[in-house]
Amino acid sequence: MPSWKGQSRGNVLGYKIFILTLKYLGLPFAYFLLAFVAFYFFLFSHKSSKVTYHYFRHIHKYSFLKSVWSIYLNYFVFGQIILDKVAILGGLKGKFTYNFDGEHHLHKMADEKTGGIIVNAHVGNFETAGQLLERINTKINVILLDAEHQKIKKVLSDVIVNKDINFIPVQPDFSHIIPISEAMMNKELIAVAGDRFITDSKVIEVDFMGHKADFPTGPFYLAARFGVPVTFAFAMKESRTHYHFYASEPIYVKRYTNPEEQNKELKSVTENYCKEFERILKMYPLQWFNYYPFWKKSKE
Amino acid sequence: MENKEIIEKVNEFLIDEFELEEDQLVPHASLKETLEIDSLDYVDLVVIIEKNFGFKVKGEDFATIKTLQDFYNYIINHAQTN
Repeated sequence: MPSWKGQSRGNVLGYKIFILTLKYLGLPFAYFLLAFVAFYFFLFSHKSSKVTYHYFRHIHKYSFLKSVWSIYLNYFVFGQIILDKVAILGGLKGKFTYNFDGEHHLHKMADEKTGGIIVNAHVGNFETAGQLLERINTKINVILLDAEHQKIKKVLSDVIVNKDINFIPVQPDFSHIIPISEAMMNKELIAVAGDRFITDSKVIEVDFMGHKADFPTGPFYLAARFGVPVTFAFAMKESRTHYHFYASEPIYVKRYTNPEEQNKELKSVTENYCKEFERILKMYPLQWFNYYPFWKKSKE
Repeated sequence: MENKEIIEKVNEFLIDEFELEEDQLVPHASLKETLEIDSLDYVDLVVIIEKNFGFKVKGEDFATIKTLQDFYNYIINHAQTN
């Protein structure tokens, strides 16, 4: 079963270089440098390039040449998004413009103090949207799945301006369950990626972009357990300095004592999530950042 | 609450909530490996403990709870101090 093995694309040194470049040379120059950095990854990151090629060639059915070119563009956009993330988290959000579809859903969750779960994915730049959510008057808890990412967060924490964002790292001893439960009981918002899971997580097989893939049920089970609404949210880059934020109408996940009925309900909500995820991915195919074999098997 | 009473109550909710069999509930059983209690089940455990025994579980406590006996001891110690 393909699952994420705990390593993210981009390392701590890379992030530090990006932060220094941004600080001393500015965003346009950092983008210029990025063209070469992306080319380096294109040439030498065979493992991730292979899965990205599969994504473009077999999932989106691109031609061979378009798929190869898209691998480079994917690295380039990924780098841009990291730079934007550092810039926005560091307080330069005035340089960016945004439009929101469904922002009122998040306001409603905050105003009515229902709490809730914002299920995003490893596409676009959701952490940036999280920073923008400061105008929503509630604390946002972001669940971090990977150790590597946590180190990166530590680097980023020096530049983060909005302190209403609380990061909850997933721990092998399950101790992350306590702050998650507390946040839910305090009716706060939790943001979690719905497209990645670690080995031994509870998953459900769903048809996604025409191929079978496993998705974690954890975020939706939490919503059912605590009776809080769920919204699917994505923040996608549309131009050098413009982002488009999407949040779906919140839904409630029913809780059942019968495990079969519960699984059926979880599958149904996961399918809804995948439908929205697919819609977004078809609009922004280059902004896919799961650099590991995501689908169970390819129909080559 | 007596220790025996606490153990019975713990066993009762493990059977009810996690569909475990009574004969699986031996003190040396590992929560994760033997009883297959996963991270989502821990969510339920946290809520159930608070509801039934009236204390809040702390994150660092999780590192010390490996077996069912550890879990009984943890509840007994905390339930008595509350």
